[in-house]
Amino acid sequence: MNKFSTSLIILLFSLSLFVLTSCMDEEILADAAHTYKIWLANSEDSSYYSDYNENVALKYLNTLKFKGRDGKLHHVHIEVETGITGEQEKFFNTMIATGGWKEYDYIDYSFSSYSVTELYEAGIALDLTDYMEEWLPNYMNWLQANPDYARTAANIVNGERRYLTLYSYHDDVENWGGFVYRRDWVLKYGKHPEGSPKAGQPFTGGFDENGTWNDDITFPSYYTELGQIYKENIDPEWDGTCPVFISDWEWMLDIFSTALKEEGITDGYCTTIYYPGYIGTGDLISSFGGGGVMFYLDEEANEIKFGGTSEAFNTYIKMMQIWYKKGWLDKKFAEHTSDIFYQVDMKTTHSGKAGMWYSNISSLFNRLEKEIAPATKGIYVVAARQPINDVYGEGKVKFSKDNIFTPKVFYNTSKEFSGGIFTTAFKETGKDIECLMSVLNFLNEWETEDGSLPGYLLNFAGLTKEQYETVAKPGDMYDRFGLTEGSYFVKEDYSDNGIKYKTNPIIGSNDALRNPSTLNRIVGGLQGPLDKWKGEEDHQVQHEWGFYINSGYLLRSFEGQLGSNISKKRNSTFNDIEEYLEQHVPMMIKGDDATFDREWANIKKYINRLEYLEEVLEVYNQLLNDLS
Amino acid sequence: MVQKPNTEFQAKQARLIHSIPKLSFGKRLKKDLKKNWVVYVIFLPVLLYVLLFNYAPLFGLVMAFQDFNVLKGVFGSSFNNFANFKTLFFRDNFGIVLRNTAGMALLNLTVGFIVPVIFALLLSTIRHKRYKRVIQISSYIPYFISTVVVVALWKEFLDEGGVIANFLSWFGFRNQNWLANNKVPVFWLINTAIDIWVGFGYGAIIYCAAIANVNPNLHEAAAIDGAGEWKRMWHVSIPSIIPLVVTMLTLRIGTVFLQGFDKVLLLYSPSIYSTADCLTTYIYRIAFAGSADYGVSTAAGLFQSAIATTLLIISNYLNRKITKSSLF
Repeated sequence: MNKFSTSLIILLFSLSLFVLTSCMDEEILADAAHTYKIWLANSEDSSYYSDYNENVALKYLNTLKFKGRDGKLHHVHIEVETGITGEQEKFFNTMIATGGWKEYDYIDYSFSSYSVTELYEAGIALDLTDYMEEWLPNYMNWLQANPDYARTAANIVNGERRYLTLYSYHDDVENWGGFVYRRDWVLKYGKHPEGSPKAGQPFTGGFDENGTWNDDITFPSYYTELGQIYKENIDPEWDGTCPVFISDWEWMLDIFSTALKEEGITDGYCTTIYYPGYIGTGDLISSFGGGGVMFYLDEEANEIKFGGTSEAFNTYIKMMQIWYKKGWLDKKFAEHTSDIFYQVDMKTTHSGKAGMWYSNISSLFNRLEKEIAPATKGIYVVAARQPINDVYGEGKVKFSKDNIFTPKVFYNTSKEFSGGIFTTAFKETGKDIECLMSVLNFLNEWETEDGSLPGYLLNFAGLTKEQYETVAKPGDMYDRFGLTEGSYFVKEDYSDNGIKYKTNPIIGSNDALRNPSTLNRIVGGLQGPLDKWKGEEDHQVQHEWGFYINSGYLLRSFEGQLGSNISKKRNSTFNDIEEYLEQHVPMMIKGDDATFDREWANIKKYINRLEYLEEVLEVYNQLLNDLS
Repeated sequence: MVQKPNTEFQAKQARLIHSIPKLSFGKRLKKDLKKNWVVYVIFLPVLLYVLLFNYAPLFGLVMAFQDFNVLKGVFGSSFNNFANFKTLFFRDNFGIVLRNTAGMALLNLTVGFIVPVIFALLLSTIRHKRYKRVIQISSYIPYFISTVVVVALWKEFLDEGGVIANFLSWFGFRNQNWLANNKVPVFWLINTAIDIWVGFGYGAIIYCAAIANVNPNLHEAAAIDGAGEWKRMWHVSIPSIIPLVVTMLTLRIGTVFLQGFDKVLLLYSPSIYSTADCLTTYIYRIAFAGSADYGVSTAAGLFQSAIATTLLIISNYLNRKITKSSLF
């Protein structure tokens, strides 16, 4: 045997060994009938892991046993495929169109262009109705305790209520995003007739060690008649230390303008907005007394309305135009087209060069302070509630003693947020689909009789130290991010303000770690706050972002009730409007008054000419009545 | 000396051909298959490829005449005659999309087409071989860069403070993000400029080859007659490559409405749809954005193909009329 042959054999042997050891690395305990493939719309940043199957909580789940169709306990193996950010809708539609869905036993329905009724009628979504009581009792228990959500949790098919989707519910709303502003700049550069805050004062505020708020900013509206009306009718506890009106915001924006000059920041701005010039979910727009841009529920009138041609929307755009003219609004807001609405131009906002923006909790307090960005020195970012218009327009769009209202349509503060469907693929593959339901039921488990840790914790909180140790591997995500003590701790004595489960402080200070360390992405599981009163700072955030109730948002489960014909018309109408507004609203904001009027007339003309708008509204309202 | 045609020989040959008994197509094919089976085997993958990827998908065109529902499929969806075309043609932005497509196509056909030809001609005048090679290779490089990278580079160049924006500001233009400018024909010019930058070197290869194949005797004779570099280019090189240029133009006309999808998709944004949106991106959005309306999208695709085919036939006809040669 010559040298070449020997080398070749050694190489082949090494390769085989490598392949074998790689396979052995992940021991699959489940048989084929209990091996499931699921598709999730969202995944994690590659800095945590490139493949969702490397999720440590998922690995732990795959070591557990669940009750199957035969009543016995079985190991399961769940293999996850995930969508690519921005491509989920396209992927989902292609998967449905090509029959690719048959590969999956459970599919995240969040990005579907089809209503779940359509998917059921097409034989893709499994009717869960007959399974619910036996296989998903925890899910049903939650619905019983939350009748508002139970109403739309099932679909009406041929006059009968059918459970087709498994929704993710949050037992208590925990806001993750909203408007934020630089309170340190307000204190440092603000000047109020009453003498508070004192201009030029370095920021000394924030929450002290005792959790007490400490600064002397009082917003100007507090001293006005409207401020007192607000206090009497809306928030009796309001002491003027947080902004509540558009006039308060404008006072701040003016201060930010000064701050930018004083700090010598030439490439920053007072505030920015999502590239279409508005946030489609209605944030800031419902500050004018109406709803959002699209369809919304007017709870008082018990009617679904359309906001795209409303006076409220018009006044909102007018305000943005004025802000733009005054130089408060980012001149290049319409150019950040690849940014998500809660991460607009992070290059500027996260380097301390903006006064106010929409963000998630990662921007809050002094979290943005870093040496490489000098403008973040002394930064202190605080959450703001939706403001109420007291400046622009007249009549219903403006807050007055005769027209008291609160914002009602904006992102967040809904207990329901996404859903999944079981596919009918198991009918061909013969898989034990009931066992997969047991897994989802486990992820909805809120409490246990034997005192063991309930399943929702795995879904929402991740792994305790003991659980982690059963699946730990050097270099895994927990190891790399310092979570080897577990992503949360169990407090045996309830001594900490009644807290039983406490988030690992590493996640507490970097909330971005929460999703990668849990099974949060698997839709259909139950979520819930671990340590509701984490601290005064978090309390302030939840208080501000969650101050108003979002009653106008149309739940996914409500939209999912639409039949195939009307669903197509609704999607077509929705997309046409969205595309038109995305082109024309920025022109209104950036243009002069003549452009504003001309473009608004164009928008109204375009929308009023849309063929299906009235029909969609009619069906929506019919559906609302049926479900009531 | 010009050789006379051997008419006697030709007549004999023709008589011989006619004397062969004419076989049926089947028999001829069988005979040919037996004789040239290796060639047929080699051709088989190509035939399969064309059938599978070029002809089989034509069946999908039926969706243009259906109220197509993905969940019901082609066979389950009902026919709605020309309703999708009606929807398409009466959409508010269809006219704008068509105008943009035509504008970009026109610029690509004129400026975009002529640059590689000029480049090849200029290249042919360079005598220093190494210098010529360096220039030629440098001109190819952009062609091999991924569109995503090309677009990212141009976004930087065109942004406020970018190389191009700064350069233009010297001529009195406002320093701005040119990709956010929705005035006609800013985006069209950008699109053409990128096309030229990416493709002029690679596109010139075929012309360089054609110029290199021009009979050197012609150049020599022209030089003896006192023609300089430019005169020789004008009177020898250009006439020699004209048939090729016209053929390439004909081919280009047929595809000009289909080009630029990936580039435009990566470059444009909603605020400049009014000048940047073209048929391919429009079709893409109808099909894959929220409404997922495959019926209208297929109708738009069919319309686009019909235009391309019409243009191809017209250009081929003109080609035949003018140069006495044609593609088909």
